[in-house]
Amino acid sequence: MQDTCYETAIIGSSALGLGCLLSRPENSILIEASASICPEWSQSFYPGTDWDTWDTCDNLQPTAAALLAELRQRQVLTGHGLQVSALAAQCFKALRDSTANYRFLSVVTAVEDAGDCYSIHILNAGGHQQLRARQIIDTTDEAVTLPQQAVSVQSRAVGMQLQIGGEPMAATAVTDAYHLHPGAFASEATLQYHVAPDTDWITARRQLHDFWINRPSELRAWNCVSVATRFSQRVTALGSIKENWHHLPGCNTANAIQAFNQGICAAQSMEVLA
Amino acid sequence: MKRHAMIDKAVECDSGVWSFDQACDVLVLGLGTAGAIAAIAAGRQGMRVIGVEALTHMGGIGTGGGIHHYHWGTTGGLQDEVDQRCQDLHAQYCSVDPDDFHPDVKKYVLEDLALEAGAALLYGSVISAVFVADQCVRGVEIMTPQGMTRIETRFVIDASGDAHAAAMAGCAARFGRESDDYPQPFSFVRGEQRANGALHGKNFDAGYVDPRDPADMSRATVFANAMHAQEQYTEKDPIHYIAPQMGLREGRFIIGEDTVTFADVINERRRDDLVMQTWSHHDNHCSDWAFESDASQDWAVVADLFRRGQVTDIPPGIFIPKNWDGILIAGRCVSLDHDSHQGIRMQRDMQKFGEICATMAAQAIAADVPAKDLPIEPLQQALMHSGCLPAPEERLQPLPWLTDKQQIKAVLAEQSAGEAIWACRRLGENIREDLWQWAQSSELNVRRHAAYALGLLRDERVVPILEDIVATNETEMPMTHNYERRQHRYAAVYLLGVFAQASSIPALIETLRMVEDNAVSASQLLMALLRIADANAEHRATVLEQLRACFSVQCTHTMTIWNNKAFPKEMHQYFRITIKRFADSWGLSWDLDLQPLDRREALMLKS
Repeated sequence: MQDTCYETAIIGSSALGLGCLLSRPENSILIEASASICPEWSQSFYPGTDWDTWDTCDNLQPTAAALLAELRQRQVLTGHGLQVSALAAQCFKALRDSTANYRFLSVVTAVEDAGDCYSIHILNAGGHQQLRARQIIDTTDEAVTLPQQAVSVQSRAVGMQLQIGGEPMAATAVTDAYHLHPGAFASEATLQYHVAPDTDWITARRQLHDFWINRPSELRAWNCVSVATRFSQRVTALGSIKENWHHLPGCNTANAIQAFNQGICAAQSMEVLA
Repeated sequence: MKRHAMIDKAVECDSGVWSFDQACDVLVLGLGTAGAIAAIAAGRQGMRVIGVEALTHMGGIGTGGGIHHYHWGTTGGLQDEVDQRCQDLHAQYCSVDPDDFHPDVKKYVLEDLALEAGAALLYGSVISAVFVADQCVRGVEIMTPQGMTRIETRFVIDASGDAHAAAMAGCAARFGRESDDYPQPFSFVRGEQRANGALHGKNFDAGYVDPRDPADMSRATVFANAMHAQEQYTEKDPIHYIAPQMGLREGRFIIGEDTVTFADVINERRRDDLVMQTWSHHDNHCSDWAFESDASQDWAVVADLFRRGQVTDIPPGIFIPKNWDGILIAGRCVSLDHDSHQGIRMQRDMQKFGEICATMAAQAIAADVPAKDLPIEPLQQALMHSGCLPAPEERLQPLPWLTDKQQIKAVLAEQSAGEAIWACRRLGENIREDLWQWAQSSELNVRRHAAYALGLLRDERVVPILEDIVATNETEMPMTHNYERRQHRYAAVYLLGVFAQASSIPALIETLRMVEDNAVSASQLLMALLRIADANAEHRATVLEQLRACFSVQCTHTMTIWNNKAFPKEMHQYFRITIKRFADSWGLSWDLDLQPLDRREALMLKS
């Protein structure tokens, strides 16, 4: 693994990272700490916004347009909303069917400037390993390629996947405490419960639990089928960290297709750089 | 003191003077099924506890892995309190079926109890290295979201599933089944709802993976999760979540001060030094039983006892790596063998493993002795007090066996006669001649089942009867691919392989020729022939020639793994590689095209 020098190392399996990877699969590698794909959507349960504006978007790249069409055709994306878990399934399928290089379940522990390239230290089931890349695109919320937490979180929410217990009802509500998004079907919704930007998982889980146990009457008909394992959040993008080392967090886009599209565009601009 | 780290799958040690950033009594690595309970139990016993977890929550396979269902196992101990608190909250979240729990309720309850017990929890954190002196683990290096930290500890409870800390330290381990060094299949679960509205984790086997190999784990993650993709996603069948954690059933087994073997399980060995009992059937998810051990096939193929409950006494030594101190193993990686593990891996039992390790660590620290020197009585007393170990009069007893010969004969006459077949094995010489008489019976079931029982007694007189069963395909082995998991119909084929007599070759070859694409039938026939040739050098070339004819065509041999009809496994290359390994060991050539379809096959070919 050490002997290969990739053109680009994409850190984080965000939709943006995936768009970037699938645009240049042969000479890039994706490194992801978890076993999830597009986790900023699929594991946060945040469905995104502005889904209906894409058909008229000038900048929509053909690969992103094809993914959007497929999501609609398969009812991952409906007139109601998005099935975030189905989005993940389709993205895994796209990755499986590609020739791309990837390494899931691998944590980045350090990045070193090695002159003509970067040496990226990772930790996984095989222990410590290194790989080399000329460019780094860090698409993680936290900018994991930096040694300390350097990213400022602007907003944070913890999600819940909901299923109606009885007759479907309108699933749109916005309050100071939460945002209820409709799901792909009338019987589904996702709740985004707002927490302070510096809230950790222990506190967030307790706050969400207390809220849910004492939830307002308009949420009483809903069942909680799953709680998110990732925050949905907005962070301050660090942009260029060093030459050919960028932080482009995938969570800052309106929705997964915008992120995917942005990843394709980023790959194209990197090609110019290369 | 040395720092031990895994570098590219090999342990490397650095000498030096190391300082620590913090200290604790018990560091629990992995807050999954066993580790979550270990952290709570250790905290309650006055230990300063730090829990380290890669994910953002506790509970492991039962929560993040989506298997929020108890399958066998024994209740009792601290887990009962957890389950009761979950039950009290379920109605607020979503209904679940009996024996199920809501994964997010359990995450909350476990975390609440751990904090209440004073444990500090490090989420998003993984182990980077261990510090070792004099065969004792003294500390760990952890990669956290805030950076690297070094923690000094009296005990590491390694509940990481694959014994990452123990492997780094250099504790000896075993892995996989003997035939191909591979563990059981793994799964990747998605959340659905049953028609009654209850939350349900849809579980299916997604293939094979080596949890020690990062490239294989990465591949398995992508390929398994892609199996969740559907042509259409409908309101009737929505995916509520895709589990963020892989469902690994089996990985490393650390070799302990004591080991529970499959022989212990099937011979119902009772122990005075038990600290708990497990309860399960022989839950091996393989479909290719031909490549499992003889003991496993005797039990599940010949005697057809896959679903029979087994009580196993667990000694403390399986949690203690052999000749090591400062580290205990909790979870699926304790000192077992591949076969015994199939029934000693259920969530309830793993939760008890966590509680036992916490109690052992607390007692060892209090007495200032290595865990292996702990006296058994105080340990048993503490575990009986918590309910983890039942009082002697309340302990599980093995299910009774038939002993009366007439009753046994009556059951042998039934279609399903496994209980009687195994009862004969237990009676041994006391029933051998009766069986031989019954094997001449004109009653089909009696004749066949008596022959199988004689097969378990390794009585060679039965070979012609078994050959006849195979030649007439009396048990209706399927020839084309189907989702047939009933292995009992292969009993005669398997036993002919065990007896390894050349006279059986024609019947086996003839039957193999009739197999179209059923990989399970092909695998049993193939292994029987290879075993016979292995034992009869003069027939090796002939058998190879016949196998070449059977496997040289553009054949496919398809095997369905559990609950996954959509992605069957193609086995023809596996078979060819298996033949080549035998041929190599005989010094004969095997010239058919070999193109491994996955990592397992590539490793087999290399070895």
